[in-house]
Amino acid sequence: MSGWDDLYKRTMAESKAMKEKISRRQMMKIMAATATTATVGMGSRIASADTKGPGWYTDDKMKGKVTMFVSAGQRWELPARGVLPLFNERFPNIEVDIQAGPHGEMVTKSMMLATSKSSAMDVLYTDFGQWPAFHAVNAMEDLEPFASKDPGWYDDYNKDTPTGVQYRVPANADGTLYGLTGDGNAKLHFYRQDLMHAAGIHKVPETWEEALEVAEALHNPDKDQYGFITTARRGGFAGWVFWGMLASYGGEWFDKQAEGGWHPTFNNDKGYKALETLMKLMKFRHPVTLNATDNECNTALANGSAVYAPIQWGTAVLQNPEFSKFPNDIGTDLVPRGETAESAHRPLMGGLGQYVSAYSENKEAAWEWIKHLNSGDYTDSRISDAYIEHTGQPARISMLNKYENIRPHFAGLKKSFPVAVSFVPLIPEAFTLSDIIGNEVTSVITGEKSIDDALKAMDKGVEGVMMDSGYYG
Amino acid sequence: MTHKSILRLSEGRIALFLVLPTLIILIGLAIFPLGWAGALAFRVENLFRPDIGKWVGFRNFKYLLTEDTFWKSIRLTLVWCVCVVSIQMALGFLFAMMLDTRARIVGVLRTLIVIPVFISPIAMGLTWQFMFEPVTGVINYCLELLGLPGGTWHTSTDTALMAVMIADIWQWTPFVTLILLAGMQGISPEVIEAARLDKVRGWKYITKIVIPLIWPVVMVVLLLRLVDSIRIFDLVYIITRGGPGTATLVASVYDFTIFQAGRIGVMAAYGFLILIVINLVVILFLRLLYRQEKEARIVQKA
Repeated sequence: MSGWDDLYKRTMAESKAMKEKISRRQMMKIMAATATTATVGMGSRIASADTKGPGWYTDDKMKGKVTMFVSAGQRWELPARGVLPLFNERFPNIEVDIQAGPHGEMVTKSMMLATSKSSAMDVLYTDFGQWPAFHAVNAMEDLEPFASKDPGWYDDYNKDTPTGVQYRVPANADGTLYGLTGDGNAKLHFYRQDLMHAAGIHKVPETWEEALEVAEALHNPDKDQYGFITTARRGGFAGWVFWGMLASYGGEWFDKQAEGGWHPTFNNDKGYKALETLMKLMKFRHPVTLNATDNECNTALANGSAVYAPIQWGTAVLQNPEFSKFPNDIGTDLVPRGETAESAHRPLMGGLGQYVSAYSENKEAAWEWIKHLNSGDYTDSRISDAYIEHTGQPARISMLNKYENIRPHFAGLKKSFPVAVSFVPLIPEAFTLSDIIGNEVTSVITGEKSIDDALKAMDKGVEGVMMDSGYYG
Repeated sequence: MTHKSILRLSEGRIALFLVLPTLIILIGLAIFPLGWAGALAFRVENLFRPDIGKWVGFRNFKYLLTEDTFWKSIRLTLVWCVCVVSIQMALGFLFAMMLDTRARIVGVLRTLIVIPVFISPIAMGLTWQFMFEPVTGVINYCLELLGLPGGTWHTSTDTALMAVMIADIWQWTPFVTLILLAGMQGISPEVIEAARLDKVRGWKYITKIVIPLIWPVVMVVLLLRLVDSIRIFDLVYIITRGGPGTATLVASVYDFTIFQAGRIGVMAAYGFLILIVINLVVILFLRLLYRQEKEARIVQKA
């Protein structure tokens, strides 16, 4: 069985088990939270003893300064800043210094920060997919000794956070915990319900064939209305679109993710089908598609020039009336699947989280900070409220349930997580490989290469990197 | 040892002492990094796997030389340089001629025209990006008002390079204008008067009087713009990130994307190849210009 299948099955099994547990808690929590969020409109937090959970404690003896590096803006810096006042309430003598920088360069910058072995950085808030690279350079502190001091909290974290984004080495439930993943995301299917209804389409497309029909039906460039958009910028972005589609056709990156394996498997029928379908969708693409990241896609969907994004990273902004012209018309669902027997809904999943630097001189304080950031209702429901209010997108299933009423795309995330696969294989080379794959995808879209040549080049490029890394001779 | 030789020795030591700070800075900030980059070019180095570095000989160079994208980036850089610099020079010269009068308005215009040069490339790149936006951008909106069809600008592989060129030309033409204008205003009034009395006007005045007299200034501004254009990064990166596809993947942007993918060895090899290729082009170009200048001087003397 491949690593992906393993990961997928573990996530699914745990999610099913969790569903029942959560549904019991939900009854009380959602009612309380809904009432709270409805009355305060997420605009203010009510400090009362009722908000505190079993994980609440304070410590004014613990001292120190925690410096955290993080990408600036939504889902990164802002939720951290949002929950910081409560942390200060709990740990008045720990100073948290949030150093936010531009997100575009953060993958390389954070890697350089980690390899510098500097004690100036106590916590790094980064993409979950990058963690194997940090682990490979011994930059991550083993969190088990810290987590085991509070078994109640640890148990709550483990049960509430999908295994698909928990970072353990080795990657199984018994592996050692090296990072906390408070944020979760998945590729979602965004569509305009109003336009689909007007076009006589009353069912959300299940397969790529159906998605193509919708893209064609909604495509009307004369009215500046484009039937397809995705994040197809050269490099990783294009690579992850392709990987998402390949996964939906039952494809994999490697023959197996274990010794004796790691041979790329893009050049086959599944790879061909995925690229062919992507090319068909590209006929209806919005003008910005080829150079688009999430910003460009979201802007085009929000202003109505793009009306269909069947494989797009989850975001709250499209259903936010302050940003989108169509907050009530944009629906979310699972990304389509292929039409073949091996096809399935397999959205890509990622997450953002924090690890404590192995070179930190304030590890205890750093741990308390990231633990607080990942606590949610177990410690104090004000943490969850502040997290969501400040653009957080939780990985915790309980929080997705609790805030679904005010963040409609959480429903899509909740549906996606149990069937999702990681957006990169959990190996240090993942981003280098994503870039190679994405560049080949782009060469097909721009007509520089045929699908066959691009798939061959993907296999060759990926194999070269894996060989250099010593996976095989 | 004679008094003279002692003095010479101490002079030498003093000289060495005075030069030493510069030498250390030069070695630390230029020679060592260049040498280090040279060494990296022959190694497999992955930013995400610092533990796997190894010597691989010329493999990184071979990889690049067989990559279509490498050659495309070289081609794009050359096209960029030729188009952008020649248009900036032509327009700059035209505007300088127009401004080379004694009218009062010229002072105001000179101040206004210089504004684009002072705008941060990041702010300017973002502004142009928004203006170029095909569906919501102001440029297509204006074209539609005039009954003209809108363009795809920076979003299409066919027009993206041209769109970024427009932004660059808009920013740097005023610089060329100002320098050339300064050169023109340095032409002796007697020469201009003599030309007027000899009825040397129009094209003849430009080619026989103005250009030969400001030729050294033209050379300087041409070289400055050429070097700046070869290393163009900020504007392209902000507007298109080298895309769509590889449509604007000029040398420095391509090199940066290799770095972002963590391929340090390949990046270093690319840097060296670019250094060689671009230097060859610059040397050839400068030789050509020097020859032209020499010929012009001979004609002038005759």
